[in-house]
Amino acid sequence: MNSDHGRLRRLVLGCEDLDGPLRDEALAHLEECPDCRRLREQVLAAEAVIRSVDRLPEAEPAPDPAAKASLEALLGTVPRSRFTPARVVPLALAAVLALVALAPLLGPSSPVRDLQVGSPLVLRGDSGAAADLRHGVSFRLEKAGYPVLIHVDGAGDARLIHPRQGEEPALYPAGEPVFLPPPGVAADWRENLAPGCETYVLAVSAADEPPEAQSLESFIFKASPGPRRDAVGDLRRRLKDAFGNAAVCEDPDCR
Amino acid sequence: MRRGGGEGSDGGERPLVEGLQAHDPAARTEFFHKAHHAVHAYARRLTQDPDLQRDWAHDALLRLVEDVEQGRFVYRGPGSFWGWFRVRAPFLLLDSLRIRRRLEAREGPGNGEGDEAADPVGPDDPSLDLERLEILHAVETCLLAIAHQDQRRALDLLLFHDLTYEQIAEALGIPLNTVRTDIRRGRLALRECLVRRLELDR
Repeated sequence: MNSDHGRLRRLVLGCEDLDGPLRDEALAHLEECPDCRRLREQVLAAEAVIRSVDRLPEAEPAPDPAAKASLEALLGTVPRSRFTPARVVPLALAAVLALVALAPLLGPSSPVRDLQVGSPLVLRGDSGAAADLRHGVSFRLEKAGYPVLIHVDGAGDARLIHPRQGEEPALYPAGEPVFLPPPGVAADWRENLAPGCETYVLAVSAADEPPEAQSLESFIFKASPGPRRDAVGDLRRRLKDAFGNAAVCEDPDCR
Repeated sequence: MRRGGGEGSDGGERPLVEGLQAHDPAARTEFFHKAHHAVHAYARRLTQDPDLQRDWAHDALLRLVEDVEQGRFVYRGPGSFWGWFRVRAPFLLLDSLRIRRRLEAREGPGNGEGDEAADPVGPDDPSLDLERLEILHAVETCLLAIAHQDQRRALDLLLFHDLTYEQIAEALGIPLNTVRTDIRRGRLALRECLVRRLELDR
């Protein structure tokens, strides 16, 4: 596709918003380019799917026993959890396991305490099965600092969770509960993860100045050919070199 | 709940939104009370499995709260919150259905989760097929991917709420010409994203 054709295709895609000569040019091109016509029709058809979705009715639906039970379960999660009681028990059990597994990794000089994988507290290898679950890490700082949180997926790809790309690192006070979730909608986040064991690596910069964005980018990497465990170990070492500390939080089933 | 989450123009809407934005548990409780049954009833249209109905309803409601907390909803006056809710909630429920259908397609018949796989999701409605759900997801993803916030908001009001350009200008408090420019640019960005994401130019 040459550049003029690319320009014309853009005109065709948005021709209803054009005026004057540009509109004439777009319509003329639409007339003579069957591929462009087809493309435009497909895009409009995709957009039109939005309008085919029914809105929720304004009329009150008659609540049945299942709906009442569902509401009660939901209200039981306020404000701490978005999960139904049926899920909370196994998740809490897994949380205990995770903390037990994690304790040796934190060590006496760790700058964080109460570190746990966020609600729900289980990281599952099957990214599809866990697509609707929220993830993240919660902790308290022993003293004020700038947390840096990195996630490694089943393939060994590392993603910077905090600070988010384009955002200034924030100073977190000591003693306050901190929860750092992955960006965006949980289902979309999980959709892009490679299946397999997952790991969070957390470091805290206690310096007066926040860490530079450029230095953080060096911790984001694609999977290397070696074992995933080596990638996590290497990341932990490099974070420790940079910030003097690094805590690892892994799916207890995968350690 | 007053009329399936539609509270009309009474004075409770704005404090509710502000409470949700402030992560106030009382506001969250109030919202769940008012919105839950309508969402659960819609979920019943999508699946016969009561566990999925419950899970999808909960997930949709919690994602709605998250939307408000993270500024993806803009209060534009009485009625705007419940209007947004009635449009947005079905998309979230359909997204849960999409994920479920995708899993089923990946696993194939007989390879799933025992009884659940033998009890397929929802009524046999062709409008709920995976391809259509993927298109819906693509539209929403592409809309969220528009980097310019004003463009995204203007386009959202145009496509999802059927507002005119004049109404959008009034709702967002910006000049009409700016709305036209935002929508032109936003719509082009959305369509180019759809071409890429749905691989329409192959």
